Amino acid sequence: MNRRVLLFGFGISLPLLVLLGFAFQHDPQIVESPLIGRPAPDFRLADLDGNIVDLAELRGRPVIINFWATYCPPCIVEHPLLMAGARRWQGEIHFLGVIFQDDPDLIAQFNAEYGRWGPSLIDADGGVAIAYGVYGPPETFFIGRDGVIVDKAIGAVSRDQLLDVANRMLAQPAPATG
Amino acid sequence: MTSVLGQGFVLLGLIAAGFGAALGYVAGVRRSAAGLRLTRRLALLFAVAMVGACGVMWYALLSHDFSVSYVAQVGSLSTPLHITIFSLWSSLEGSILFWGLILGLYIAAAATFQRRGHEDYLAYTLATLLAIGAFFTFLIASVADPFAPTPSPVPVDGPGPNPLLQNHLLMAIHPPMLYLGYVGMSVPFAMAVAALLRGQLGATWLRPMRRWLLVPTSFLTAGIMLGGWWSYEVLGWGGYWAWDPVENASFLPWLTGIAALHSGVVQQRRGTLKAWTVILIMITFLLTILGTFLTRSGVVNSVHSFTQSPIGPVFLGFLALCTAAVVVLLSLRIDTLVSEPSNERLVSREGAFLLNNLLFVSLMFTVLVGTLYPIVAESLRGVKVSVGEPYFNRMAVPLFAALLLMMGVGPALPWGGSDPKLVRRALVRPLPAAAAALVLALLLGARSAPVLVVSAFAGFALWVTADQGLRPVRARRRRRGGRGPLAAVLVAPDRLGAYVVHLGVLITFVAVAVSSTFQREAESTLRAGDTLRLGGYEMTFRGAERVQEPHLIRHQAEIEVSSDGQDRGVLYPSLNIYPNQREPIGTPAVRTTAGHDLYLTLMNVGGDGSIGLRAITTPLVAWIWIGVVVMVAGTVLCLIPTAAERRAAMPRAVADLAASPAGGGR
Amino acid sequence: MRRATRAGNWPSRTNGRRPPRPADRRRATVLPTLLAALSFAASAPAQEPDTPPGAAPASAESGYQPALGIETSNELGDPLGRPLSGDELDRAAAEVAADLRCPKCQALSIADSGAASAHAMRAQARSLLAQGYTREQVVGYFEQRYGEFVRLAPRARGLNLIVWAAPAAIVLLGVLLVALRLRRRRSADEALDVYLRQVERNDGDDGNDGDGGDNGERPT
Repeated sequence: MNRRVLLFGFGISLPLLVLLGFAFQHDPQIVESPLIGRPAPDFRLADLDGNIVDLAELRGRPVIINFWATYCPPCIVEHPLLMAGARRWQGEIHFLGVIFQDDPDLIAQFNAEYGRWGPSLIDADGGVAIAYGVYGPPETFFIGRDGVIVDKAIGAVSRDQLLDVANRMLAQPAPATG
Repeated sequence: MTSVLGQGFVLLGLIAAGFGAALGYVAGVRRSAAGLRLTRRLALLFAVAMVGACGVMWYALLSHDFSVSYVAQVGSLSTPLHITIFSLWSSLEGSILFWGLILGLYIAAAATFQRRGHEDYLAYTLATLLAIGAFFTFLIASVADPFAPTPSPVPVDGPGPNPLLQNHLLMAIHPPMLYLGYVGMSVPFAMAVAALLRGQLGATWLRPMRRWLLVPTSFLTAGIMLGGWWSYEVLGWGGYWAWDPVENASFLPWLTGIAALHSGVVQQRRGTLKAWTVILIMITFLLTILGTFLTRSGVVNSVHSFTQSPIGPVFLGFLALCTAAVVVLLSLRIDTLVSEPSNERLVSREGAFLLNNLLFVSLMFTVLVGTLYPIVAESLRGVKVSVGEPYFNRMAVPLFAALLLMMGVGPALPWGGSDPKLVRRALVRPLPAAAAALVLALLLGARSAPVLVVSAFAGFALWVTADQGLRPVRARRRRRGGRGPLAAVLVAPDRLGAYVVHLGVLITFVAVAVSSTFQREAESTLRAGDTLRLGGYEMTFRGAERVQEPHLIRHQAEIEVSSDGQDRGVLYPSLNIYPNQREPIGTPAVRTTAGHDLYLTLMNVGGDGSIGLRAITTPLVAWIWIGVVVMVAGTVLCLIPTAAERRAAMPRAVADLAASPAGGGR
Repeated sequence: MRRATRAGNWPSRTNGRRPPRPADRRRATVLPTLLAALSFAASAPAQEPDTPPGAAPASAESGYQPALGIETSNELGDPLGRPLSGDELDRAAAEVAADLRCPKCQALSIADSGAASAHAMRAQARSLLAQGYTREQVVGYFEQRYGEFVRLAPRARGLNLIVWAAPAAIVLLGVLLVALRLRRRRSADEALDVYLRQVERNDGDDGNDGDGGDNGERPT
C-alpha cells in the first residue's frame, strides 16, 4: 500500500467532494442583494401618463417597488397578487412599478387588459434598475417608512412574503420628521 | 407501450452490465477464457440494449408519441424533422440515454478491437466499462427515466426543444462530439484499471491504451471547438470562449488527457513515468464525471446547464465512489508498475516532457480552482462571487504562453540531452525563425508585449515542428533515394501525425491570440438607408422584414456590405422570437474571409423600422477552426499503425487463422 | 406618442433619437440632457407623433425641472479622479466594462453582452467615468448594488486570495516535485547514458522503430 498516494488522493479529493455536496444548498440563480438594510436610492421618474413620482416625497409610508416587464412570465404570475395587495393596503402602502427594459406601449396595453396596481414608471436609461441592482424582472423591493430597504423578492413574489413583509413594514414606527 | 419497450431495453442493458461487470472481474482473477467469452457477449448485449433503447426513443420522438414523458417535454408537432432527431440529446434525460448509447458503442468497439492478444487485460477492462455502464443504465432506469409514461391526460402537442438548440445545425454535432470525447475517456480508464489490477503495464498494453486515449481526446478537441464555433455563430456576442463553468468542465479532462498522451510518449520510449501516466488517465476520467456532474446538477451558473434535478446527488455519489475506488486502487497497486531506471536531465527531451506535464496539470488546477471557487466562497463566506474571463486571462494566458514555448523547445531537444553542444545547437537553430516572426508581428502593427512574445515563441515552435515533422522524410530520401515521401511517412505515421497536431495547435494559438487582441466594434441605431462604418467596411441598412415560420417569428434585417468601394454582398442578421420564450434570440450574420470576420448582430427592431445594429471585426477567426481541423487530421495520422506494428500484427493474424478452428482462447 | 428611447432588445418602438455614430457603442455623455429632454417629453403626451432622427426636443425648456432618473452623485459622493474624455474615456470604459459581469447573462461581461441591461450598465459606467469618478469608484458603485457577484474577477483579499494564489502555488509545487525527481535520478549509471546517446543518433531516421517490443512486462 502506497501511503503517499492514499494521503494525496484523499487529501485533494475529499474536500472537493464535500464542497460539491455543499453546493446543493445554494441556488446559483439567486444572488442576495447587498442593499437590504440600506437606504433606498432616491429617484424621480415619470409614469405612463406623465405624472412624476419622487421617491423621497413618499417617505413616512412603506413603499413596494416592483421591477417588471410584459415579456416575463413570473411578472404575469404575480400580477393578481399585487393587484390584491394594492387594494388591501390602499392609502397605507405605496405600490410602484418600474418598467424593466420593455416597451411602454406594451405596458399600457397590459395595464388596460389586466388592470393596474400602481403607476408604471419609465426608467428610460435603466439607471434606476442599476441603482437597485436588478438582475432581471421581476424583482420586488420593500422599503420601510424610514426609506430603508427591508427586504427583496427575486422572481414572482409569494403571498406569504408579501403579507409578512407588508405587516412588518406597517408595524414600524413612523420616523420622526425633520 | 413505447414506454414499456424502452424501459425493457434499459433494464436489459442494466442486467447485462451488472452481470458482465461481476463476471468480468471474476474471469480476470481466475484467468478464465470461458468467463471472458461470456463477458464479451454481455458487453455486446449491453451495446445492443442501448442501441435498442435509443432506437425506441427516436421512434417515439419521430412519431410524436407524447405518452412518453421525454417526448412530451421536448417534442412538438411544429419542430422540423432534423431538429426532432437531435432533440434526443437536447434535454437532461435524453442526453443521458444518448450517453448510454455512446458508452455501449465504445464498449462494443473495445470488446471487438482488443479481442486478440490481451486476454488478461481485457476481462478487467470490460468489467470496468460495464460497471460504468451499469451506473448509467441505473440512472436511466431510475432518476432520469426518459421513458416514464406521461401522467394523464396526454398532451396533444409539446413545447419543443430549447430554442437555442434549434437555432443552428452545429448544435446537432457539438454535443455528440463532446459525448464521444467524455464517454470515450472511460476506455483508457478501464484499460488503466486493468493494468493496475494485473500489476503490469507493458508496451503491448500501453500502445492500445494511448490509442484509446487519443481517440476521445481528439473528439473532445473537436467538440470543444464546435462548442466555441456554435457560441460564435449563435449567441451573438462575437466571441467563442467565455470561460463559462461548463466550458471549463469540458476543458479539464482535455488538459489532463493531453498531458497523459505526452507522458505516454516518454513511457513508450523510455519505460519511465508509468505510474504517472496511469494516474493522469484516471484523473482524466474522474474529471469527465466531474464535468458531467457540474453540467447536470445545476450547481453552477452556466448557459449550458440543464435544470436542477434529482440527478445531481446521484451523480455526486457516483463521483465519490469512483474517486474512492481510484485512490484505493492506486495506493494498493501503483507500486507494482515498475518503471525502467531513468536518467533525466532538465535540458533534455524527457525534461521537456516533465515540464509539459507540469504545465498542463497546473493549467488544469488553475481552471478547476477558478471554476469551483464560487462554490467555496458561497459555502465559507456566504457570498456569491464570479470568476470569469479577466481572472482566467490573467492566470491561464502565461501558462499557455509557457506551453507554446515548450512546444518549440521540447521537440528540439535530444533524448537524454547529455551533450551540451548538441543541446545548444538544437536551441540556436530555430532562433532566426523566432526573430522573423517577431519582425513580422511588428510590421503587422502589433505593439503589445504579450502578442510579441507569443509571435516569437510561435515562430520558434513552427520551425521546430516543421523540422522534426519532416525529418523522417528527409532522412529516408538521403539514405535510399528512391523511396517517396509517402512511404517514409508510413514507416511511422504517428510521428508525423504528432507534429501535424502541433502545427494545428500553433495555428489555433496564434489565431486566438490575434483575434482576441485586435477585435473592433461599432454599434448604432439605423434607419433604412443609414450607414454604419467600421474598419473600412460600410454597412448600409436596406430594410427589415418579419418572417413567420412554423416555430418562430424572425425579424431579419438586410444589410448591404461594401468596402474599398466594392460590393461585398448582403448580410441578414436576425432576431428570432419563439413562443413561450422570454427574450428574442439573435442570430448573427458573419462574413468570413481568410484575414478577418465581419460579424453583425441585430440588437433590436423598432416598430418604426429602425434597428439597433452591432458590428464586430475580428481578425483570423477562421484559422481557429482550421487549426482544430489540422489537429484532428494529425490525430488520424497517429492512429495509422506504424510499420513495426503492421509487421507485428501479421504473424498474429496468421496464428489466429490457424487457431480458429480450435476455438481460440488460451 | 411617447418618445422614450429604450435600450431594449425586444423589437420595439425606437424613434431613432440617436443618429448613427460610427465606432461608438456608448452614448452616455449625452445622458443627462437626454434625460431632461425625456422628462419633458414624457410629461407632454400625444404630441409630435414622429420626429425625424436626431431632432431632440428643446432641452432648454426642461431646465426648470430636476432631471428624471437617479442622482448617482447622491449615492457615490464626490468624484475622486479627473473627468475623462476622448480615447482615454473609451479605453477606461472598455476596461471597466470587461471587468463587470452582465447580470442577465451567463459568464459574459457587459462589454461582450448584447443584452439591454448590459447596454444600460455600459452607458452608466461611461457616464460616471466622464464625470471624473475613478475606475475603482465605478466598479464599486456596481458592486454596492449587485453584490460582489458583479465583479468578473474576484477582489484579491481575504478568502479570495485562495483563487489568486492557488495557480502559483501549484506551479511551485510542481517545480519542486520535478526538481526532486531530477535530483534523485541524477545518479544513474554512465553505461545507460552512452546507450541513450546511441538511441538518439538513430532517432532521426526511423522514428519510433527503436522502441518497439515489450520493454516493461514483468511478473509481479
